[in-house]
Amino acid sequence: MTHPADTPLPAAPLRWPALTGLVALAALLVWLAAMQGYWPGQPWGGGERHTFNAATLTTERGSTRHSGDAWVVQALDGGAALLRLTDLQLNADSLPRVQWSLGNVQQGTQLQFLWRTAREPQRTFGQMLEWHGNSVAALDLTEDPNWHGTILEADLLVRGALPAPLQVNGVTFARLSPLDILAEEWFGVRPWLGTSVHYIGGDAPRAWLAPLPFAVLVLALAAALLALRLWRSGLRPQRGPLWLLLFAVWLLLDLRWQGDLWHKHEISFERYAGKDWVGKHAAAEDGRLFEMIEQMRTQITPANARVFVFADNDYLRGRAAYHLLPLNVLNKDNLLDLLPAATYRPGDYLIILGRDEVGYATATKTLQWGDQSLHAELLQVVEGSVLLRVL
Amino acid sequence: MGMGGLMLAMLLPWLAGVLWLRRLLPRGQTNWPLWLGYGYFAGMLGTTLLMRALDAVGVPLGLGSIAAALVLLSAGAVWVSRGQWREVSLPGADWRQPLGTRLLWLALLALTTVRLAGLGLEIAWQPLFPWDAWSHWATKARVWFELGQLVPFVPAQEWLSQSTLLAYTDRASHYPPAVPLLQTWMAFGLGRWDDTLINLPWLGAGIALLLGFYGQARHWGMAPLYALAATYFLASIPMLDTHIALAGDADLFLAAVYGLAAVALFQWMRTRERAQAALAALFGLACLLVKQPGIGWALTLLPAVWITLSPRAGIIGSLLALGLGFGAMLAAGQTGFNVLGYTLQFHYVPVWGALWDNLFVRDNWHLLFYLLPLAVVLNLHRLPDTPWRGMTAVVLAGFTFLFVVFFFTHVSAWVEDYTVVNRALLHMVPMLLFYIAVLLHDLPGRAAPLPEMQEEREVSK
Repeated sequence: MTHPADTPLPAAPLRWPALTGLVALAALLVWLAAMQGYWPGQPWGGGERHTFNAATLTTERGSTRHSGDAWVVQALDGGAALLRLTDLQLNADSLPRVQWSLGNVQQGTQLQFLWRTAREPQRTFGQMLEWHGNSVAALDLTEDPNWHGTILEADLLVRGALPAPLQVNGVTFARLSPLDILAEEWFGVRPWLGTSVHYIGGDAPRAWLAPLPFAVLVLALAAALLALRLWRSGLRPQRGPLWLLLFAVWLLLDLRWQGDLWHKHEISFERYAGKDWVGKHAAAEDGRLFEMIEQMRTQITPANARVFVFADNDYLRGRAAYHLLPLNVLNKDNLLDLLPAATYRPGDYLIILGRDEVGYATATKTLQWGDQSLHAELLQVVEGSVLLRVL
Repeated sequence: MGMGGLMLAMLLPWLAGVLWLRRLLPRGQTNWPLWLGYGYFAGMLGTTLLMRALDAVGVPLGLGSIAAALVLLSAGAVWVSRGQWREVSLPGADWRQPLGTRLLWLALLALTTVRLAGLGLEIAWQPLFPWDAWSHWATKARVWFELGQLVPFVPAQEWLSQSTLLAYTDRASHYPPAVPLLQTWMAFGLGRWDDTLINLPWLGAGIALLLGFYGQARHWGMAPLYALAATYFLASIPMLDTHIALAGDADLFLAAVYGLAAVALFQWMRTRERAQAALAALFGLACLLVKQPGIGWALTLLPAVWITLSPRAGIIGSLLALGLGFGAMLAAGQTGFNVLGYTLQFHYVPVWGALWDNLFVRDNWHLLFYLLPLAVVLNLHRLPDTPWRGMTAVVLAGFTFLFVVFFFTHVSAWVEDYTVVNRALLHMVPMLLFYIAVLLHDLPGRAAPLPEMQEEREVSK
């Protein structure tokens, strides 16, 4: 279609159903192309799922009772409870994802998934379950070298504190289909992580199916289709619909982020709401360290003594130093090894968190590491960590 | 004390800041959101300076001493500003708009409020979480609160060598004290240490940034709905939200203070209002109080000032300065030299992959970095004109600063491991979003913004 050079093209009328349809078409095209690109030949299928409900579990240890379709762990026996699933005969390689369905999981309860394989039936392998609000996160065992071959037996080990009865509904072994993976990547529950102030989300292995590039591709394709349609009709594009489209895409991205935030709020609420600041720290990921430092703090006098913290983990050392404040504590990056013995003065305190290469001779009150030794009094031992005062 | 004291600690500095800004901003050149937004940061950062002054003259720090000084300052502001109280124009919502527009405005306000409420709850629930917060910042706050005086923090070597134990140490003893002083002030208000509640100023910073942004957008002449949409875009940015929710780092404050300084500078470039120039200067200097890179960010505003006052000389001079800096880097070679806390060396580390992933793949910024080139391309023919020339100079100076830091300093390692890239970008995001909002608002074919602003001033009179 042609127009005289000095006659402006007529403006395209705004038809919402057509615009919406165009965007939907663009989204479908981008989605199909990306799915086929990332999972060639099998974008829809490939999922497998084996669910075992509570009735198939047996209690090996601890006090449990049936409640409806679930087991309820009421008390630990010798500090532990164990629920077992036997005679499985599952192929680990094709079912790398394990999801325990639990209810009323309390902070402080340690949960571990244990399994035995046909290849090494005498050995028991394990992975800790990550606490997610009142439930636990799914385990992805793809990278675990021990999740291999035929699985004979699977257990749930409950340890630590059990402040309230724990509900066990069952366990699912699965291989996610591409659609499951996508749903999880877009709308899955993700708690706040140490990396959250640095970037949003975890790994992004499928860039073109990540929400942001996907949305931009849809937007670009919709705009291109609209331009093509207008060009064929001999109409002049209006700017308004494009801006509205852009706003709508921003809004959709933000609604997804709002959903993510609500999941995060829920986890934070479950974990911290209603507690004072000491209770919050006790409920935090390093809660045990916090409690241990609180115990040690009472032994450190005077309040202006020099305190040194050593650990082979920078996070643990930094957190311990923070929990020790307002004591005058050395808090330094990359302080992995104990400082030379000449550094210390009588009255200094040393906290050593789980260092195997450090020894202490009780008879002579001597701390020894490498070729160094220090005359020091052992004040406290907590879970492999020690508090000493230099003499 | 307790929660009442905490609220007092939040509101008293805000009040003092607002009252003093009232003196600074003359008739017709402000509106309520702008006043409240800028007033919050002026008051909070001013309070930290006040604490330093009180400590320097030997006054023991506590709720009583600091609050008394703030009350005196506020009273002084009331005294010098008497007679100016009815000269502030009405805030954003223009109720003469059609019903649909008003409903949309309310919907956006509701979305923004829900977001801020959720982030506020996170602050109230989470114990201090980010790594830098508990290793660099709150360390000082805890000690200063418990001791009631600003004992010095020194590097570890110095701490080890001191014969009598006077100083403390942490992992960033050389960092400016403003952020931990804010936390100290909150603890004084609360009357006890609580590393959750001391982070309430981060929620205040989020609210105040949005208020200041919206107020400036309205002052530019944007319609209420457009101004609120831009403000909602800012409130929706995931990295910004995260830095409010996981409070305790200084990046949110630097982003807000630098962003509000740059926006005030944009306004001055367009209207030459002296009040906006004063705000830009005040907030540009405030960047130095917040975090070390604040010096670099404050410097990025200077070429734009020069270019606005003297375009030809400004452009040539800025390019010469850039060339000289590059030459110095070249001369120093691989050895490098220290400037503003960065080790500059002529050793190019390509970190494009990390930038691409964080700007365009991960949903750190929603569509912001896709929208920026689009807005620039649509306005390319206008960028050499006033005020776009100066505004674009601020944007280019900001990106140049980041380019040098990311690609030619030790920071490149932290860009590659993603620990710095987004936090550094966050500092310029409020400014960038305002720049984009203005470019798209003033696209050819739209109504000129200035008359609307004049109309608003008439209303205010």
